[in-house]
Amino acid sequence: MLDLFLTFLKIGAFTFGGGMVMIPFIEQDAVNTFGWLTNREFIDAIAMGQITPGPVVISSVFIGYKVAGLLGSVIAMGAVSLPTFFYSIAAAHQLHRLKGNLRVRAFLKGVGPAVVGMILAAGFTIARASLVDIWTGLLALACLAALVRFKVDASLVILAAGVIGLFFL
Amino acid sequence: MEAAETDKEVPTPPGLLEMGKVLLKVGATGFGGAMPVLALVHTDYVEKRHWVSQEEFDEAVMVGQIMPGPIAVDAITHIGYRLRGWPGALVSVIAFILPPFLLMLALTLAYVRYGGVPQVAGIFKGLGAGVVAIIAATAWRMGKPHLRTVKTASLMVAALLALLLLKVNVVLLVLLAGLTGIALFRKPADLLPGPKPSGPNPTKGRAC
Repeated sequence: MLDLFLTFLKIGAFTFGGGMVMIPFIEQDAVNTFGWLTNREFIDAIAMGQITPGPVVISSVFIGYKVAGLLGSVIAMGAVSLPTFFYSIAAAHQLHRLKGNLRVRAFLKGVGPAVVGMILAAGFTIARASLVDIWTGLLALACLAALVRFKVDASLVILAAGVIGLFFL
Repeated sequence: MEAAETDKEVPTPPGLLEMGKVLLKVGATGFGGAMPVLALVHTDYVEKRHWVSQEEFDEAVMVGQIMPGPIAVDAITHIGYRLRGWPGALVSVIAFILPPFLLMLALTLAYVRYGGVPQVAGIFKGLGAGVVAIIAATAWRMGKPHLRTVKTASLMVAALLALLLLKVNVVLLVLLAGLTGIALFRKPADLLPGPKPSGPNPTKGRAC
């Protein structure tokens, strides 16, 4: 339980660049280090996080539940939100200093591309587990086209993928 | 000090209950990532109710981009704090998180119960393919601006390989990348386009 709290606290504290960045973090700790969930469950948790409104971080609820039931989901969600909460409040006092600080900007400029690389790395492992045959591969390509080319909303794309899965896969 | 500034611009700071109600609605309907969520907040906070000015709203979004954590949650908490102090921040984050939390909990319970049913396995096979596409689309959208210079593009590839092949610890990787940034981008000119750690634009995809 303490591991759960500390892990999600850490995830909340270091995920510069938005919620997607949490995916490689969660994968490394929850799947590889602690074995709280299988790779399959991890992908399913992220999928469910995409169906629900709100931030993708909400997948933490699933992981918390797997570890320690209802209390676990509250702990995971609370721990992952705690750093965000204090950072945002601290920002209210330091905003003008942060905005002008070149070192902060250089730090973030280095983190920005790295974070994309990390998301891609997580994407690779997830693709290896999810794209099991030609059909899942084609479905992923179709979804990608819908997202990038036709700018369809992500929650609609994921719902459609689920419906197609129900009937054809 | 921030509160005094806010009071000047916004004659009547909103009640906690009112703020909570608006954010419960946003939390329940905010599909599609940080930017669509922020658009909903903008409609209510800036256009309809005039709780914050456009400038304050933009600042909050910037806070969301600089600070770790989901961009929308950062921004919403920050506005809540500027409007009503600690209680405002607390009410904001809880009201926003509560609806998706309950929905996710319901899905989790259903998954634990019915996850083994063959039809359900089919659904998740489809969802898995969708997740891959969403991750690829997000990486494309977030990564495009970084492909413009050799330095940032190399950082991206280096992080990808470090995680994929060497399994470097993620926290260490973020800190190393930041320090590399400090070493590489010394001149203010390097930073001119502005710090856009994730550069989310209104294209779809979940980046919050």
